[in-house]
Parts: sequence; C-alpha cells; structure tokens
Amino acid sequence: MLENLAYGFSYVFQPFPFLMLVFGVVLGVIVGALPGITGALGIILLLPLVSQLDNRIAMIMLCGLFCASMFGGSISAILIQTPGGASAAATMLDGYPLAQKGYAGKAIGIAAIASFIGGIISTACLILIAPQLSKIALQFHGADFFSLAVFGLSMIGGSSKNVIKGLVSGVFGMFIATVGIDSIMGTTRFTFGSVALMNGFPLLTVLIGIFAVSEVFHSAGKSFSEIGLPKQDLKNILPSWKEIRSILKVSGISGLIGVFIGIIPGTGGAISSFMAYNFCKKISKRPEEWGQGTLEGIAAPESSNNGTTGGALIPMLTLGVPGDVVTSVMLGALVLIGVRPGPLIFVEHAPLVYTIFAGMIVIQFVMLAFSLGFARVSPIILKIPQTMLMPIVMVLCVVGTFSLSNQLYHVFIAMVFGLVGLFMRRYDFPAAPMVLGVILGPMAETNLNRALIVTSNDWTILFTRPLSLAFLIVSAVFIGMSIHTNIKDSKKEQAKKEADA
Amino acid sequence: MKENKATDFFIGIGIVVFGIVVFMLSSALPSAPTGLGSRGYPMFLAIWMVVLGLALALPIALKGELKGKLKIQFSGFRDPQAVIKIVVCVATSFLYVFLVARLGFLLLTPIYLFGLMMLFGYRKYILAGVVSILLSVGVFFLFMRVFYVFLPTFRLF
Repeated sequence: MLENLAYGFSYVFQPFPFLMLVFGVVLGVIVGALPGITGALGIILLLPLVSQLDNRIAMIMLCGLFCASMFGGSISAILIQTPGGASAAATMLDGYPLAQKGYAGKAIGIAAIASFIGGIISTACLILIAPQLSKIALQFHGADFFSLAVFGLSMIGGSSKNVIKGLVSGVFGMFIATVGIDSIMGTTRFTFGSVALMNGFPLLTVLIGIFAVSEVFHSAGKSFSEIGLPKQDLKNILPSWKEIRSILKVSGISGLIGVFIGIIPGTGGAISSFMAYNFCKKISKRPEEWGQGTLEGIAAPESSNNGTTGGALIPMLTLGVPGDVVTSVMLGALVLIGVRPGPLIFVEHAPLVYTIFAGMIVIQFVMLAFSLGFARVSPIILKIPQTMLMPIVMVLCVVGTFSLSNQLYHVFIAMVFGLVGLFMRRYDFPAAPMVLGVILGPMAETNLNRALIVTSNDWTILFTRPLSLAFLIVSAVFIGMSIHTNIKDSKKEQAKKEADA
Repeated sequence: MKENKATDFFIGIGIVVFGIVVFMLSSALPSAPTGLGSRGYPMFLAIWMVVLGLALALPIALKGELKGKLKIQFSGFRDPQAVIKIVVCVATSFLYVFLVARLGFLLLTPIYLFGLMMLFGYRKYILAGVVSILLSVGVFFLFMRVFYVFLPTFRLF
C-alpha cells in the first residue's frame, strides 16, 4: 500500500495535477461560501472540464472542490449568518456570535483548522477502511448488494423530514432508471416508441436537472436582498497555540463522528455537523457557553462536516453507493471518465484510487493554507449578487449538459428534470433520495435478478443470507423509528397549535 | 397547514394512480422463467409506489383533515408574483433550448442571460449587459477552442 501511496504522491506533486488540485480547492471555497451554490452544483459546473482531463487529475480536482466547499460554507455562516450550504448551518450557532463580538477572523481561522483536522482524520479512515471494505465486498452475493441498495435508500429516505415523501422520492428515482433498454432481456421499457429514450435518462443529465436547473427555477421565485457585510476588519485569523489546543479534543471526536456518518449511504455533512455539535456540547465542561461564540462550538461542526468527506468516499469507491449528494455527482463524474466504482476498483483502477488517497492528504494542507491566507479577503466573494450568479449558473448548466453528449436533447431532458426538481422542492419531496434511486436502481435490479436466478426464484434468499438480512433489519428498524419520530413531531406540532389557539 | 395536508392527499392519490399505470404497463413486458425478466422489477417498484402513495394519502383522509378542503390547492405556489417569475424563467429557458439550435449560442445567450438577470432582479443594466456578452463570448470560445465542444451556431436554413 505504501508503495502505491508513494506513486499517488509522486503523481499529485507533478505541476499540472497539483495546479488542478489547487484550482479545485480554490473553487470549492468560493462555491461553498456562496449561499445557494452547493458543492454538488460546483462539481456539476466543472463536468465539461472533467471530461477533458485525465481521470486522476479530474478526481483530485473534484475531491479538492468537495473538501473545500465544506469549509467554504462556514465563511458565510460566520460573517452573514447564512450558511453557504446545509453542512455549515451548525457552524453558524457559535460562529456568528463570535463574529458579532469582533472576532470574525478568529472564527474563520478556527473553522479552517478544525476542517483540516476533520479532513485528515477522514482521509486516514478512507485509506485504512476502503481497501478492507472492497475485499469484503468481493464476497457479496447478489442478494447482499440488493439489500445494500435498499439499506442506502432507507437511510436517505428515512433521514428526510417526511419519511414517506423521502421513500417516494427514492422509489421514483429507481423507476426513472428503468426507462430504456433493460439490461436483463434487452427489452425496451417505458420508451413509448421514442428512439431517444432507448438509452434511458443519462445520470449526469438527471443530476444537473434535479440539483442545478431546479435551483435556478426555484430561485427565480425568491426576492434577493443586498447582503449586509460586517464592517469589521478580519484580523488575528491565526489562533494562538492555546486556542488550537482547546479545540483538539472536540475536533478529533467530531471528525470521527463525521467519518461514521459519512460512511452511511445517503447521509452527509448537515446531519453529522449537528450530531457532532450536540454530542460535543453534552460532553463539554462549559455547555452553557455554547451558542454564545465558543471556539469549540465552531470546531465541532466544521471538523465533523469535513470528516464526512473521506467517509462518504468509502462506500462510493468500494461499493458504488454514494455517501451523500456530492459523492452522487462525483460517482456520475467517475462514470463519465470511464471508471465504474465497486469492489474491483482497487484491481482495475489502483493508480486512480491511490492518487485520490494521496490527493486527499495534500488537499487538506492546501485547503488549510489557502483558507488562512484567503480569510481576510473572503467577504469579497459574498458581494457577488445572486441575481447575477443564478443566470450564469443556468447558462453553464446548459453548456455543461450539452458538452456531455453534444445533443440539445439532453439539455431538454435536464430542463424537464429541473421542472420535476422544482415541484419536488415546492412540495417537500427531497431530491437526494431520488438521485440515489437513479444510481442504485440498476444495481438493485441486476443483483436481485442474479440472486433469483441462482436460487430459482427463491425470494427467501434475501432473508437467509446473514448480511442481506442484517441490511434489511437495519433498514426496517430505521424506517420504523423515523416514522415514529415523524408521528411524534406531528402530534407535538398539533398540540402546540391547539395551545396557541 | 390544512392546505398542505390537502395537497399531500392529492399527491398521494396521484402516486397511487401513477403506480397502477406503471404496473399495468409493466405487465405487458416479457417475463422470464427464472429471475425478474423485464417486467419483474418495474412491477415491484409499482407496488411500492401504490403502498407509499396510500401511506401518504390515507392518514390524512382518516384523520378527517380534508373537511372543507377537497379541492386541489397548490400550496407550493401561493405567492402569485413568485409564480409568475418562475413560470417566465421556466418558459424562457425551454424557449432558449429550442431556439439555440437555430439562432446559435453566441447570438442568443447574451439576450437570454441579460433577460434572466433582469428577471432575478439585477438592476445594473450596463454591467449586466457587459457580463452577458463577455461571459457568452468567453464560454463560446472556451468550449470551441479548448474543450472542442462545438456549441450551436447560427444557421439560416
């Protein structure tokens, strides 16, 4: 492994790959800082470039963007109380109060260092866990893979505000993946005679529509106000050694929480950052200070959301199951450059995997250096008006989709899915389960079919294979618990309303 | 809140209907002696759609939360001004995709971009115009010369 890692480092430190890695990090911080522009959207905008690059360069650039966008979100959360993405929402709880006290620079500095710690922990876990998991995954039976897909969808569906809507979204995504020529018998399904639909809906086109185009459509209905930036000077960005020491424990714990949450398919930085914040607050010696601008309150969510990055890459690379929304788009990008993630990736694409590992380590250092150096001028990014940004995003989406296939038909499909995404947003149907459904649908079908052929249509195989059974039990328990929580919340809301009335 | 519940009820019913349609379409697909065949998996998904649609709609109906609300209310699109802006944005975007094949990227994109900026509420006209033109030209040449992606150009016939 060390030899392979050394190869990875030697590749990453070549001028052009390193330049693209830095480019990914810089873009990631910018994209992350802009409210409404997520890491997933950033990767979507880079797709035309991705298809032109060597797969190793493309992936380290995307990983750079992924990690840096997690940190970038903290800038706007700290300065203007508007998180760049959901992952940075918890950072706002202590980051903004600290900025209000005149220590915005220090808050950003702490966020950068905590992100670095979380990133390093997650990268270490990625390097240690991924090869082992891929070895285990090689022993998976078709039934295990099918149940894994069910598990992934249950996790992401169950984490939604409304579990039923989350599951509907996931099943709808799986249905979308059935359109076109089926892989089992070569029959055309749901094409209604259209030749264009025979190839089905391309994954990246669906992703662009659901995440990017729908965001622009949705934003069209919003009224944007000028962002009021704080008039304070961002100084003392680099914290003292004593301050760094005070966040080490919290950052370590939160980083591990992030890795754990990141590995679970369909979760992500938003969940992990709040979990880490609440957990670290509970174990803190001074919990009463949390929420008033404590350094630990910034470090916990920031370390945790960066912890999810490496964690989310583990199932994506080894099982082909994305850990979160951004890795869903990264998985699409991998397919675009001719790499099929799964247990065999360490055999078929070892140079790529070890370049990603080495790249992830280098990314953390580049991100730290850039974040600390860039913090002083970071408010400039926030001055870019959304009213100008969103139309630009739209044009880049159109061009990006066109570049994937040189067909305007695909742009049209992206627009249609943008419309679907808009309705889903407006009626609280989460988009992430749908995307996971599109990705996991073919995997679920192929493996269920394989399992049934091997057992001559014996469905009990799903319950007699220990791993498959474990996945199904966990899925059922999680869904049951989520529905229970939903009902409890709804009753509480009802009682509150009645009390108000 | 009741409006949301009513909308959710109708969406649930819509999902059930969609599931039934998918099931019927799937049943026309070929089956296989062992394994799923072409139809097994879509039918399996259709059954789940029906179950989930019912799970969304039934509790609302059973709790009697529909009383006096039995009409479709688009709770997701209540603000008329916002709806108009969204409709204009969606319509112009589809029109743009339709026309760009004929008028070309370079000719149409600055107009589309400028129009969207105005729709979104950007009011610095000169800057918006300059950005629209520069960005369109920049993207056009970047894709044509660097990425070798040939964006649509103007054609008379």
